[in-house]
Amino acid sequence: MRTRFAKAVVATKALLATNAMCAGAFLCMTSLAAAQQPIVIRAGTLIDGKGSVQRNAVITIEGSKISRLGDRTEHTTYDFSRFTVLPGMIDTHVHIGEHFGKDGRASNAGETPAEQALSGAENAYAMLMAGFTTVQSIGRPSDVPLRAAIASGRLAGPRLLTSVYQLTDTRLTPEEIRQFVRKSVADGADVIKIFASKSIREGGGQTLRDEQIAAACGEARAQGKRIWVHAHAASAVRAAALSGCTAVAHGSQITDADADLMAARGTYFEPNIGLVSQNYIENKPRFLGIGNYDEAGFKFTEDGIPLKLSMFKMAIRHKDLKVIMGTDAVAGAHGQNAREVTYRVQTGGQPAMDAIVAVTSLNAEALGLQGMIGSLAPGMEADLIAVDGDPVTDITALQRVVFVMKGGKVYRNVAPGR
Amino acid sequence: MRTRFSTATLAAKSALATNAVLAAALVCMTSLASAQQPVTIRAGTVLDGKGGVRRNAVVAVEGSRIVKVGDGTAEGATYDLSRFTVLPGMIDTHVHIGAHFGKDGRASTPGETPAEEALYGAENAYAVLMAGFTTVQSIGAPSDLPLRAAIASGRLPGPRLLTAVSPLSDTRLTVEEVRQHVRKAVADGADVIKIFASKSIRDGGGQTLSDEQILAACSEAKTLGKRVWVHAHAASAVRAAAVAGCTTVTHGSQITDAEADLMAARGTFFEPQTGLLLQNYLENKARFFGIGNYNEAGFKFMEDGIALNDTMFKMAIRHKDLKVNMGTDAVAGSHGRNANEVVHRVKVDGQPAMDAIVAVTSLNAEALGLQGMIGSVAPGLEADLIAVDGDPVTDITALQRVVFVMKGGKVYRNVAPAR
Repeated sequence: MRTRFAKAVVATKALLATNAMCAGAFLCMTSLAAAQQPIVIRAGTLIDGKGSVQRNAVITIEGSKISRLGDRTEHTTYDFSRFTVLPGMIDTHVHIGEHFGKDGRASNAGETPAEQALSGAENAYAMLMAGFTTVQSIGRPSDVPLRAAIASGRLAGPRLLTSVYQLTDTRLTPEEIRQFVRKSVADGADVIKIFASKSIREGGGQTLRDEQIAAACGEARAQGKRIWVHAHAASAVRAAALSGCTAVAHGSQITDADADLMAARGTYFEPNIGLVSQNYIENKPRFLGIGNYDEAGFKFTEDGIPLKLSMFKMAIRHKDLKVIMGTDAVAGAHGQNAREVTYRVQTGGQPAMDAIVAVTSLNAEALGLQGMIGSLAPGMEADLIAVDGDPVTDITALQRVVFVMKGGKVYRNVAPGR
Repeated sequence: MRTRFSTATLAAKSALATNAVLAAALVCMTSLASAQQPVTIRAGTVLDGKGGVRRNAVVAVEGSRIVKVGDGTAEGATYDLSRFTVLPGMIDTHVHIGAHFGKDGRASTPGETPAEEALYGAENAYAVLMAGFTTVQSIGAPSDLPLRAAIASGRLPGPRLLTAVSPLSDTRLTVEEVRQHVRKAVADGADVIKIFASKSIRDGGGQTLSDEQILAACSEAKTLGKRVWVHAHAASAVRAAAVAGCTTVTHGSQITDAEADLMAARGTFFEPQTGLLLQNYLENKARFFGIGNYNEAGFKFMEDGIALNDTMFKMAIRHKDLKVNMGTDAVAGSHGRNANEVVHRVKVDGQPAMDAIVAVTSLNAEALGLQGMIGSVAPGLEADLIAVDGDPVTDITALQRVVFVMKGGKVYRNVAPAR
């Protein structure tokens, strides 16, 4: 009896230690079940995320990783001969905590922290079910426990990165800005977020000065962190590119010159043209009256749709510009993330494979995770989805996700059409 | 007298209204996807939850409900589970859905924020659903309420969740205060009332509430249309609960044939735990040790309790008219392993497998007052269905190999069996 307890105590201590290691690391997953035996997936079509297409492919998964890609197998665990298998999709810009509250409004008045946390969990599940196995949340402190819960392997959701905070205060000195960056990092941020211009609902003009932007991006680089810069006005975009910031989000007012500059500097460009504005308009009563969601703001939002579309068509003519896929998903949008991709192809005219690469391997690169996610290759994490249809010829197939695997664990496996 | 009756009537009416709202909340699920077209499930075997076994059947689901159970060799089923056994989603009438090991790995979680606590509840809910439990009753904590709402909205994956909200354990309450506690719990949204009529097993289990207090709680609950779960180890507490018309006695570790007879005569549900609760404490001793009465003496009581509970259970199931339902008292470490209780009852305690299966499905649904909605595979019932790898009637451990989980017509799990 005592020996059994001693063993139980030792085992428990080992497990406690494992928990401690996993805390805070968004990749760490308890995947005992997945570790038992290889899983073999037969795919009618395999899209590797880097532009290649293979018919009648076989993917072997061991533990949490892809171990082999081939074309023949004796045994099949999941037969997706009718479907297309591709890497789990990635969204580089969501607001995972944002939701409509009990009164159906985006303001969440009177909500408790527990209710807010569960709404985040709901959004996480919706995105995972929609085939997004990694998302970057821009970002609030309440993202942190959600990230931990998902990383533990116990809460079903996409791998979650977060900026924790967002810098909007234009009165900060460059040194205070560097302190903000350091605090973000100390508090567990995976990425830094700054607002270098106003919201589109207020016209989008530059707010931070060039030197403030440079301070932020310089400090982020010194800390080894990527930095996302909200910038509509062309001047703000240029300042971000010149400062070596990782990514510019929005960029609704850019011209060819700014696209050239971002391409030259290797700045990732993340326009949001197919979901964020449309979602606001579709849910107008739920937003109207909150902050700058007023009639003027909605007018800017409506007018912005064709403007952003023109901007996007211009941007993708720059073949050396890295155009990544971020939705800026807010309340109402979580789970509809693939709409952005569909819009870019069907309305924006982007070649389907370019859009698919953007939402997989290019996004992984923008997150600094290209060694781990975003493409199907031996050694990569087994984050993969199956969709009903061929997204290269019909991009809307990305909105018909039938299978989701993350880290070798199956989270969704449904008949098509449901 | 008139005032009391009219007050009671008003309270009952509001309780019924609340019941309707809560019942709606329990079943209300956004099931847009499942509403689109019929779903058919081909099953090698269907256990209907009431003792029936059917081979080569097809279960048809429309929206959130089962519409037909028929013979099937028809091709083109939406889900081909012909290698598996399909049965009703399992039900656990006694969990503590919020209980978890915190960041330091321990069962007490000082300094934890409400947000963190809520997420642990969501994690437990998911683990339980993945283990094939599509409805659980949480006994209970106020933190269950937002979790229940999130699951009922259809957006958070988890079992249908019932909760007692705030259990009663204060022995100093007057009978009127006991009734007030019950009314408050109902007003706060409780689906069920929980009272502690005896000490914990770790303190010896002796009766704590008086017979009058137990009667006050159970009669008030009955007036309000609510069921009552009574924690009772000592035989005297069990007897008082049965005589008072309480719905269910949970634990009952010290009962004898006389108490089993009395509960059977009164129609009291009996919910012992033999296969998971104590074992989980022992397996996780380091995580509990030092918290409250989880001391050496407490652990000794629990160690000794395993064999005592087995003996008690074997006696209890000899009473064929005693309704023995299935509640695990799942605490931190147990969520997701709920089927262990069922397996132990069959393999160690000798309960016939089909009796155990009925207990965890239709009998449990009856104990929850939800037999018209869940707990069996029949037209008109909610499509809460699971598939397991193996035949649980001949190998009960198949219940620990859940490969498919559907709740309200929506598929939450559909994995290849482990080879």
